[in-house]
Amino acid sequence: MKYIPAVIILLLLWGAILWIFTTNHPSDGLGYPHVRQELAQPEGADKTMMFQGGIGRDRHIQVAGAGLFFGVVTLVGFSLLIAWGCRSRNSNQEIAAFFWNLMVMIGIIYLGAFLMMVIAYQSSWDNPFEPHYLGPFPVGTTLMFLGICGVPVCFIVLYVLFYKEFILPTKSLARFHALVEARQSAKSETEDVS
Amino acid sequence: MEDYRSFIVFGCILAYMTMCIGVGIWAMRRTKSTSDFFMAGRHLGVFVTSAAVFASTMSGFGFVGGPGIAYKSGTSSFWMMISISIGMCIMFFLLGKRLRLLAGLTNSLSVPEIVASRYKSNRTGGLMAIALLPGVFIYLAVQIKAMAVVLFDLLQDLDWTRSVSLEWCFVICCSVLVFYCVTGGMVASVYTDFIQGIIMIGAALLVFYAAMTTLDGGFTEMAQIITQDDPESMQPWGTMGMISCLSIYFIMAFGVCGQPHVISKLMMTRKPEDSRHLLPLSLAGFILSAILWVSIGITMRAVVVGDFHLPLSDADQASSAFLTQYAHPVLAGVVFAGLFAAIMSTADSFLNIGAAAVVHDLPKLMFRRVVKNELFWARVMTVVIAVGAALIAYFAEDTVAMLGVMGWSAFAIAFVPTVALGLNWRRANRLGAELSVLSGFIVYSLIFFSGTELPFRFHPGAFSLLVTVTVFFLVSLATPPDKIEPDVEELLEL
Repeated sequence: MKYIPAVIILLLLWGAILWIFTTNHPSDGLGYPHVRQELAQPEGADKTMMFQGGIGRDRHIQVAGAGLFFGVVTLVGFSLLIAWGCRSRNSNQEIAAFFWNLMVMIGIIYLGAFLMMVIAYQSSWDNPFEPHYLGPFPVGTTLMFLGICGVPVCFIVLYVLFYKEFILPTKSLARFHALVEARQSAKSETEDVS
Repeated sequence: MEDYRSFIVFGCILAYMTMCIGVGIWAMRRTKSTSDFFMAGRHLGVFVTSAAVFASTMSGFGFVGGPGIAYKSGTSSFWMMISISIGMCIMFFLLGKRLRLLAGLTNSLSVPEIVASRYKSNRTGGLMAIALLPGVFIYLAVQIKAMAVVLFDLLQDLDWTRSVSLEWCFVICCSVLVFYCVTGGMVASVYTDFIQGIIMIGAALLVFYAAMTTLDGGFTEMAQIITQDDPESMQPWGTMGMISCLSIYFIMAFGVCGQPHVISKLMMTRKPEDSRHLLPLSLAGFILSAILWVSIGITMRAVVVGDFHLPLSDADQASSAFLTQYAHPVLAGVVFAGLFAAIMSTADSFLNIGAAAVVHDLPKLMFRRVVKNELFWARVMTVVIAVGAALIAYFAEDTVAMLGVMGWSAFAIAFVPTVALGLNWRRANRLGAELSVLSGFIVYSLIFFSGTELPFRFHPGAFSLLVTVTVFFLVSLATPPDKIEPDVEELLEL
């Protein structure tokens, strides 16, 4: 029973990969050399030095569903890994519900940032040369920086604030020191006998 | 001042290298045992360790290769960088506490030794040491080559140093690196990392300001110029597309906790509870220094497609072209020192874990012997590894460049399941660990060396890591658990 989340995540990840691998590969879907030859392969260059993406809708429409699925499963998997790393025998059960609720909320915000980024990107398909801006960059790119890169900072806040309750409780630390002491005394006894 | 640009840059590099030598001499007096040499005596403070963690993570790639890929492929490049925020979270949540506790309990000096204690199997630990060595040589060779080439380019700009050959640049760079690593071991390595980290952050912030003022409209204007040229290269997936970027995100984020030169730093803190402050400090340092990557990448693509600058004949010249054209000479000097700092901070970590693998791990785990006068031989081995890596870099440069790409993924395949998952899952066993590493390497090598390109350019490392984790999980579940030391078993639950 306790292995079910791991089994599900692994199955979903393999499912996403299967979906991606069986999706038709659009031509130029992975970018192509810049149309201006002097930028793509300037004098002295022996390979392509600048690529272009082309038309977003054309290159992503077929794989958008599979990509979204892979991204969501990856982010859920990462959030679960982080939650898994918080287990401790001596964690503070009195505030456990509060802590895990916060953890779930951050996971949802993380996922939400990803979905918003994808939606913002896809909404730029209609008018790609004049996308909406948020700060200096198009909305999708800003959400990439602030959301995908920024939201994990909330996990760090939990790590710092609840360190003594969930990551390394005081009781666990004391037990660690006792284990070290026990091992050292066992070692010195063995050395004395020999 | 513009007339003295090359001289100022050279002066900054010289000052930086002199500082490294100075730290080496200072650290020599503090290195009295192998524990000092490999683990800095396990009494490092929070600031020093966090700087060492982020400086080791951000190699020269972040200062040269990263902006180069941003120039070439637009925002696709940034997925490598933004993955580190969740990657460091995963690393600290899974390993921050457990690595330090296990190292403290078993008095382990290296990651392979931790693995041997965790699985109560010298063979598994030895396998990790063996898996580590080729990666150490390859990564080190890449770093040494990068240093030598950058130094060579810089010396060509000065009349009185133009005659210095590339071979001599190899010798100079290796000598400085080896000097402080041999004399001061890990103590010198982490304290130089600390200074290197500060230089990297300072350089990145200065570059950010210089980049912002390159065009009147700042980053907004640059983003608009790039969008008008090709909207996709300024949108989140860049030119490489959604699947490619997401697979890069997967391998980079999950792979951080498999990088031995980074996770070994988690074992060096004075107190186990120090990891509480290490995580925010390490990530803050990384993000601040990564600003350089974004700033130069976007600026150079914008000025080239906007016809303000000539096209680059090599994308990796993005950083040097920016510094030459748009940065004050002193800033250029600081950034070049930062570049050397980024390269050296990664290289010294590899030198150290490589020496530990040869002198400490392999004899102890594979042959059950402890080398006499380990500290002396560790110093000798540091020199041997550095010279070996330099020779590889010099004589097999194409192969090295190709293999260098494998580095991150190869370490992730070897260490993520065995260490990051194994230290958190009591049910994991040595058969699962060994088979997962072997299967991951076989799959990755088959894809990599056959030149197969996965659909949508899905990253082969991400695919192989998933194979590794699946094999690890299934084999561990299907076979009986190992008998391990009761105190280690209890520690896995603390």
